[in-house]
Amino acid sequence: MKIIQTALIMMLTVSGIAQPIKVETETKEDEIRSFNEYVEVEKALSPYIESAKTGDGILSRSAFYDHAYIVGSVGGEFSAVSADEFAKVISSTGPSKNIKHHIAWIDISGPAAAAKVEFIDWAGLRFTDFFVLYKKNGQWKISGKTYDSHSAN
Amino acid sequence: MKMETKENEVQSFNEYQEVVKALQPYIESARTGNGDLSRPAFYDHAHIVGSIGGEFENNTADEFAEAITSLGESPNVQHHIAWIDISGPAAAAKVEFQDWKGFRFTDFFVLYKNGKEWRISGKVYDSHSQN
Repeated sequence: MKIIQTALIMMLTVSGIAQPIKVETETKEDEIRSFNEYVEVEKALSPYIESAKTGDGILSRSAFYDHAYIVGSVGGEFSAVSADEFAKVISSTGPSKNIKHHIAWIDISGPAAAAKVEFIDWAGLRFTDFFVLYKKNGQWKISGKTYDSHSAN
Repeated sequence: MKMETKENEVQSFNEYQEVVKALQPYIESARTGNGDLSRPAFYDHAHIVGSIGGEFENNTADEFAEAITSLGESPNVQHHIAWIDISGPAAAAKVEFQDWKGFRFTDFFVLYKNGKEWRISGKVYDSHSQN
């Protein structure tokens, strides 16, 4: 009798009759993964943040997709540069040993994300950066950036 | 430290409306399938990145306008601007869509105001069950 009951419950469950409005619940694995994804996005931003400190343009370049544009203004001049051009700017700016940063927020939806990072004393300047990022083949990279250079706009 | 003036506080509030206006042609083009309307919302350099049906998609603003046109109209599309964050001439936004040709999308944007006009500088998207 017990076997028949079990079989019946299984059949009903499979056919969807027993739980017609069942929404998939989050598993333990899911909740760990969704938490760790923030760490992955931070890791993706890390070469860029590090390059601000060291002035290493090659390191910065690795954080961006080839197509990424970095858009803002410094000293009243509008600037839209490719990832390659931006890497050169990082190198020519050189190290900023006293730079500080703060990741204000990260928002993730599936393989897409956005982030906001605050900087002070990047070659003496204050920046607020907005990023869009995308995860392709397990790897997050920056797909676009716009920035506010505050008093230097 | 300088106090915020009455003018400043009005301007900072209105800026959200300006960003909404910048997103509007894009949102409207989802409904109408008018790629020519979508195109001016983006800078020439903007790329639209995501995946549909397991295929990674990386389109220029021009290619994306063609995609919008070929998709055609979605009269039942619904959208919700989840948030807008602004810092001076830079901004980011998140927009949710339901039933864009039957698809559910979450879009993230970076925008920039060059002179007086806000435009989209980059977009990434999540197509949820279609990724």
